[in-house]
Amino acid sequence: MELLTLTPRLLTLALAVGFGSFLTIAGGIVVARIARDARSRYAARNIEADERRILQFIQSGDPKLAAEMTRTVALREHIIKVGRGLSGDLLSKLMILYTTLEFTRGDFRAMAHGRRQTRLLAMERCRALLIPLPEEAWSILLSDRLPSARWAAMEYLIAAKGRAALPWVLHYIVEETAKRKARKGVLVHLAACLAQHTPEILPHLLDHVDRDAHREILLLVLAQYPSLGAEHRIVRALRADSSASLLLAGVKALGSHPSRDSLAAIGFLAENKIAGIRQAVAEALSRFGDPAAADMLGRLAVDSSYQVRLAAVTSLVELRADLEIEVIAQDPAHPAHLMWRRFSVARPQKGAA
Amino acid sequence: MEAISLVMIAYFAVANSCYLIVLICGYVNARRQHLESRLNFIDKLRPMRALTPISILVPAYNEEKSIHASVLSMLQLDYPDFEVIVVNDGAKDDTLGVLIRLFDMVKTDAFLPQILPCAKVRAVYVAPSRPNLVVVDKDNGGKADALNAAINFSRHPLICCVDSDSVLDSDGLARVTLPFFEDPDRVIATGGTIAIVNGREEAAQAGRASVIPWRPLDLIQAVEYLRAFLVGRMGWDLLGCTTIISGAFGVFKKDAVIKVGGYAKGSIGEDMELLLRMHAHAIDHNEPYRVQFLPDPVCWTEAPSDMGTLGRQRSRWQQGLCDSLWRTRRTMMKRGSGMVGWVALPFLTVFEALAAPLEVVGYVSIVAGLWLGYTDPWITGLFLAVTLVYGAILNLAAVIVDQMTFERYRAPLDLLKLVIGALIEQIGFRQIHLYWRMRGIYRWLRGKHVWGEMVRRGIAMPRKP
Repeated sequence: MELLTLTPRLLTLALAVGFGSFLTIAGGIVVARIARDARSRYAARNIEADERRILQFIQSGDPKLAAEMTRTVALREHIIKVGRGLSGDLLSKLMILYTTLEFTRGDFRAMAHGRRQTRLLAMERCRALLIPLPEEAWSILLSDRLPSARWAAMEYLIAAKGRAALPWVLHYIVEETAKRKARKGVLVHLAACLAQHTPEILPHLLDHVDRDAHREILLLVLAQYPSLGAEHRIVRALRADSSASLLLAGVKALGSHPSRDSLAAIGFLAENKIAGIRQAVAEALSRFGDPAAADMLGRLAVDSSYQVRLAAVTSLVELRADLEIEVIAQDPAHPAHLMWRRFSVARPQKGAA
Repeated sequence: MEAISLVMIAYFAVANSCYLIVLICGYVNARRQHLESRLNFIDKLRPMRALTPISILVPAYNEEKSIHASVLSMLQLDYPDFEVIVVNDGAKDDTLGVLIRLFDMVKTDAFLPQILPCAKVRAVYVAPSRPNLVVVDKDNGGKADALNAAINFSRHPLICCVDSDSVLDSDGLARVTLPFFEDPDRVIATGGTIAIVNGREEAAQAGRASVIPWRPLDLIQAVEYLRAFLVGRMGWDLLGCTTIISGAFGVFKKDAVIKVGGYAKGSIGEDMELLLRMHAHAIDHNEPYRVQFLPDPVCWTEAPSDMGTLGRQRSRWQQGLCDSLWRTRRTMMKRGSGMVGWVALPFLTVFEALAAPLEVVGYVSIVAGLWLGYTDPWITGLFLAVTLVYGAILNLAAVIVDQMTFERYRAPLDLLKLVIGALIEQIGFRQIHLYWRMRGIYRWLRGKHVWGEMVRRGIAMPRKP
């Protein structure tokens, strides 16, 4: 009963508070926007002149130009923007300019003491210009709770340290694969970044890792970055009892290393009971110029799986294996005949709806 | 009567508390994703050609005004390996003719494999000058049917469903496929944000910073899209409960879609229905999976600009919601169904599907109470005013989250318009919306599958805000 007598007062109070809050929030949003715009305009007041000076600095390296610039957030962001499109010596000059203007010091301070957002944005700026970081900074960045932040930091570390990043990358891969929700694509990307610096190291690593998850990552990278003479090591990494995903990665890697040995190993996998692996074999065979590959594809073109047959026909067309294609084209009852028609766009009729 | 009032007050309190929690989660997730989007992974991955090839599926029905701009923008996407498959779903207008003329397409006798069931395919067209464009002309069978036909013809392991009246940001596709690259074993679907294009082109032509038109419907929808499509979905994503990936812009792993039998023919809310079935399949088979919503990749779409079209759209959404929830009812509160089964589906049922009938009961009880003298008009008026003001504050909170993260609207005048939109959305529009939702429920109960004609003005290529 007391509650009922109180209700009008409570509702009036709630309405007053609500309406007041609405007006305050609404006003706050608009005023904050106006203030932010004004601040940005003020920070960018000399940006056009500074843009010219940045370009002159990149060409001449004259330190006097740095002294003439207005040290603002707008200038800092502009240097980063320019840096994203540069590499080599030009990027180094921009890095010198950035450091001369003491932006680097500010970023290091942010990385050491800032909150996560400040820290990561500072890292991202340094990453854009490939500024070398102190060892303590790497430890902080690589232990971030946000997986994407660790990914970015590791990618930065590889770009900054080159082949010296190998122990860090290996440690990272081992740590991450032990997690329940390891993101395989990220690990493949980092291993691929490392492979750009040291392509010869991956086949050797293949002999020394003992977990299927690690082998799979290395094989996927080898599929992307072939390494001369690696096919023996790839074949050694695959066993009859290997997981389907490892075999799949192995087929892709062998496809990137076309040789007689690879073809023999792939031929063995062409009879695997998993359709996905047979499909990968059919796709990989398009890279082998050997007539035996076309023969193998001819057999896969009558596979029970539609996807395998389609992949086989696609590879046959890519290989220009006329003999096998003729067999498919001439026989309307051939299981791959309809798929072949997908590629027979030789005599199109002018379309009219 | 007092009992009904108490139930209504309790329902209002619980619903708003839930929305507030989702909003807070949305803010946390938006901040995190905004930070992640600034780490520039796409720029690093693009030169490595690491992103998975993708087929963009565009079902089109009577889209002659917008199809050209839409397909053209898709062909200009910044993505290493993709194809665009447009399906003319038996359009009554000149959609097919526009495509043939403007892209110089020729008829082929290419084969369309029947992996997923779809209506009869009349012809397939290819563009010799654009090898990654294919047009499939088929009998009308609805959007789900058209998407199944497009899946049948797709070559790549990922499929992206885009409405033919929509335009993607140039790097939107790369951003929305990033989770598939990061976690290829688990991610089965991702979706991007839908933003309204209305007014942007006019503003660009006039050199105005303000992009939201003064039309009330545009103001209201701008706020709605921020609240529901950006912040709301971000909140559910943080909780691991993404139950809808908009049909206007979603990417799926093709194998996972084929595994559940593709889009359900005759389904009205085909986007939600498919995703719920994919959830159910993964839960039933105990497969690890992930569905992710990303706020950064943007798909620009033309929002309805007249009440008739908007009403048809909203009735269809409500009908689709009820239909999807009904079809996947077995997953709700099922053992092992996790957050989706125990949180998202019950929430959608109680606070989305049943909200309209309960709101009607509330309004009827108020009127009856006033008529019979059980209810104090002063208290009733106050209660209604409080409800509306707090609803408007929730709308404003969505605007704040946007301003603190992605800043879709940057002109102060636009923010003023959003404030006005936040208020008028609660007064008047909400009640009309209630009627449309009730109509959707009625149609669902009657089993009427009405898509409704969507009137389009045609969109031009938007500039980035």
